[in-house]
Amino acid sequence: MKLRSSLVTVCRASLLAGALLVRGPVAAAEPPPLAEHQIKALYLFNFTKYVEWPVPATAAAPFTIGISGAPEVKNDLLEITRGKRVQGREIVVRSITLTQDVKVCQLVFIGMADKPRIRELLQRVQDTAVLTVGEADNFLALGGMVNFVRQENKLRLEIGLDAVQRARLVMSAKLLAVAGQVKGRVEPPRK
Amino acid sequence: MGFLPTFSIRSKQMLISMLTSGVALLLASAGFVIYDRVTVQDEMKQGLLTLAAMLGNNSTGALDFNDRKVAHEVLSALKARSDITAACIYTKEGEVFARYPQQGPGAEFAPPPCQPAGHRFEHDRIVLFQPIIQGDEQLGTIFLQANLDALSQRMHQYYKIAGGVLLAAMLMAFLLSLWFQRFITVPILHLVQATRSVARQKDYVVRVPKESADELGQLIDDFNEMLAQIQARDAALQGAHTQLEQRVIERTQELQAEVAERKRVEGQLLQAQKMEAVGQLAGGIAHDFNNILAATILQLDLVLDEPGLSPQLQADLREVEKGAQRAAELTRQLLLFSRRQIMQIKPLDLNEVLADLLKMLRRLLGEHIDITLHGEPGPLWIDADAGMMQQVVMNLCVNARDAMPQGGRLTLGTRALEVRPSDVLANTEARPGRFVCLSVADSGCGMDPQTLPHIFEPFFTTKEIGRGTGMGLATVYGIVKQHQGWVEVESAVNVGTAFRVYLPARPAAASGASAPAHPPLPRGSETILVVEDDEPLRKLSVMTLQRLGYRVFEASTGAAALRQWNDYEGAIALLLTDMVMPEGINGLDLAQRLRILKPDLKVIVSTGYSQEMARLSASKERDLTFLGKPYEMRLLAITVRECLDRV
Repeated sequence: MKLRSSLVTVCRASLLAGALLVRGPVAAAEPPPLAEHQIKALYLFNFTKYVEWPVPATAAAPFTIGISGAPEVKNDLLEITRGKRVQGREIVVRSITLTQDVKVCQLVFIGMADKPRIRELLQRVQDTAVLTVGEADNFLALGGMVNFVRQENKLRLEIGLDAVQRARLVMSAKLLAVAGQVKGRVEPPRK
Repeated sequence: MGFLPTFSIRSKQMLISMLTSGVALLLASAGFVIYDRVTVQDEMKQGLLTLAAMLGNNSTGALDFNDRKVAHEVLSALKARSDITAACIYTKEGEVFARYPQQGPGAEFAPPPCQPAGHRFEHDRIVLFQPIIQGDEQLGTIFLQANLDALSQRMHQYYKIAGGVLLAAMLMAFLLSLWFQRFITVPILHLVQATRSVARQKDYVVRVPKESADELGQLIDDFNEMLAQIQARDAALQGAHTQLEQRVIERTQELQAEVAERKRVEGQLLQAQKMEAVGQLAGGIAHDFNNILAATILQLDLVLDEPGLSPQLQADLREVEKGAQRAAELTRQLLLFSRRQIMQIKPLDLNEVLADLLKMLRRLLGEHIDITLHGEPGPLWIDADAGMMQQVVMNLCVNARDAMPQGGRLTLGTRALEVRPSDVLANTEARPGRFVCLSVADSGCGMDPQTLPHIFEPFFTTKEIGRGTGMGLATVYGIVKQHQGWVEVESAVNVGTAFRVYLPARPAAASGASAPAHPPLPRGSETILVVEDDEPLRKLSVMTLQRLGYRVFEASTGAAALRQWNDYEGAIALLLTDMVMPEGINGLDLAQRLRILKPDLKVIVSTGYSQEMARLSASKERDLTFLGKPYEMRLLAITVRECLDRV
C-alpha cells in the first residue's frame, strides 16, 4: 500500500509520467496493493541509490539496467526510470537477449523465466562491476548478489556480500540493514 | 510617585540609588537570561535538526525498502537521549511509518498529523518536523518532540544567580549610598537644620559648615553670606531703633521742658505786664497827688517860717506837715514802684549800705529776731540811689520780721557773681552779666505757691488790715527794676522765704567818698524864668528862689513864657521849666526856642517821669539839667546854683 503511494508520487513528480499509472491510485480512496512486479521494479531503481559503481571511462555513458526473463518488471521499470538519472547518467533499460549483452549493464535482473541462464549470465559478469539481482531460491548460491524472497507475505531481500565485494561494488549499510539475510563477511570497503 | 514628596531627602536619595541600580541590574539580568534562553533554544533546535537529519538519513533505506523494523531500530537509538520524549517517521504520504517509544512508558502518545517542515516551542517542549530527503526526493517526514527540562533547569539556575547578584548589588548600592550620602545629603541636612534654626529661633548667628566646593558648597556659602547680611542689617536696625527711641525720649523731654518753660515764661510775662499796668495806674495817680503834696509842704514851710506865729498854731501846723509828709512818703513809694521816682545815682558799696543799716535794723526788728550778715569781703560797688537801696533792705527785712511773729533767724548776704546766658533761661527778667546779689532769708512761715506770683503787686498783703500798706514788696520790685535788676523769691511753707536781689555791678573803677554834710543853701541874684502849669508848685518854686535872692519871672504855659521872654529879654540867665505842659509847647520845645534867641541860656527841666528824663537825655539838646519831682527846696537851690555856675 505504501509502495503504491510512493510509486504514485514518483510518477506524479515526473513530468513525463504515463497516464496509465497516474489515473487509478489518485482517485481511489482505498487503492489496491501494488503488484509484486511493481514492487520489484521500484526496488531495482532504489538499489541504484545505495550502491556505488566505479566511474565509467566515458562520462557520457548511460547507466544501463538489463532485464532478463521479467517483461512486466521491465515495463514497470521503464515507467519509473523515465527522466531519472543515476550518478548523473541517463538510465537505459534493456532486455538481455544475448548473453554477452550482460557485459554492458551495470545492474542486471534475472527473472524466474530465465532461470536456466542464471549460471551462464552470472559467470559472464563474475568479478565485474555489475550488480546482479535475481528471484531464484539458489540465486545467491549461484554467485548472485541480491535476491528477492517472500517472507510472511512480504517481499524481502537477501544479499550475497562476498559477490558484491568481489565485484568491487560498495553497498550502503542502509541497504544491508533492510536486508533480511546477508551472506558473507562484511568487510570495510577496500580502496 | 505621589508618596515620594513625604520622604526625607536621605530616603529619596537612597531609594533612587537602589531603584536605579536595581532596575539596571534587573534589565541586564533579564537581557542576559533572555539572550541565553534564546541561544539555548536555538542550540536545542539546531541539535534537534541535526538529530532529525541524522535519523532521517538513517531511515532512508527503511523507507525505500518499506522496512518498518529497521525504522523502529533507527528511532530506538533515541533512548540515549533522555530529553526526547517522542519521535515519529511518516511516509511521504503522511502515514505513520515508525514511532518512538514503541513500548514502555510514554508509548501511549498519539503521533500528531504530519506537518510541513518547521519547529515550535510549546509550554514545556519543543516539537519539530523535518522532511527526509534523499537526493532531490522527499522520502518522508520525521517528527521529534523534546522536553525543556534542561532549559528550565538552566533558567532556574540563572534566576537564582540573578536574584543573588541583585540582592548583593542592592546591598552594595545601599552601602555605597550610605557612604556617598555624606557628600550630598549631609550638607543638605546641615543646611536644613540651619534654616530651621534660623526660621524658628530667629537665630542669625548660626553658620552652616561647608564641606565641599561643589554647587552645594556654593549654596552654603551664599546662605551663610545671606545670614551675615541679615545679621548686620538686624544689628543696624536695632541700633537705629535704639537711637530713634533715645532721640524720641530726648525730644519728648525737650518738648516737655520747652512747654513747661513756655508756660512759666508766659506766666512771668503776664505777671510783668500786670505789674506794668498797675505801675502805670499807680504812677499816674501818684504824680498828680505828689504835686499837690509838694505844694502843700512848701506852703507849710513858708507859713512856718513866718515870724509871729503863736506856739499853738505852730504845733498844729507841724501836725499838718507830718500828715502831709506821710502822704508824701506813700506817694513816693507808689512812684518808686512805678519807677517814676527820680534817682540820685551814685557809686555805692552794698556792704557799706548794709553795715550802716544793721544797727537800725536790730532796733527795728526787735530782740526776738536773730540777724546774721554774710557779706562777701571787700566793697561790692553798684550804681544806685542810696536812699532807695536802704528802702529795699528795710522793706525786705520788715517783711521778714512780719513772717516771723514768734521770732526767728534773719540772714543777710551779699556776693558778686557772674550771670551766664544759661542761667538767664530760668527767669525772664534776668540777663547775663556781672551782678551783685543781695539775699534776705528768713526762717518764717513761708508762702504757698498760689501767693508767690502776687507778692510784688501794690496793695497786695497777707497781713491783717491795718498792719501793712501792701506797698513794701511792690516798692522793692519797682526800685530794683529801676536799677536794671531783678528779684528772685524762694519760699517753702513753714521753712522760710529767701529773696535775692540782683543789681548790676559797677564796672571796674571804684567809687569816691560818700556825700558831704549839708552846707548852707547856695544863693544867687541872677534872673530866672519859672514855667510850671501847676500853679501851687510854681508859686512855691518862685517864692523859694526869691528867698534865695534870685530875681524871678513866672509863666504857666510855654506861650506865656515866650511873652515873658520878650518883656525881659537878655536879663534871663536860667530857665526852670516843667517838661509836660498844656498848649502844645513842652519844656524841651521851649528850651530849644529860647536857646535860638540866647544860646548860652541855662535850662533846668523838671519832671516826675523818669522815662521822659531818659528820653530827654538821649535827645540832641545838649547841656540840660534835670530835676526830679517832687523836689525839696534844698535840692532846688543846689541844682539852680550848680546849673548857673556851669561854664
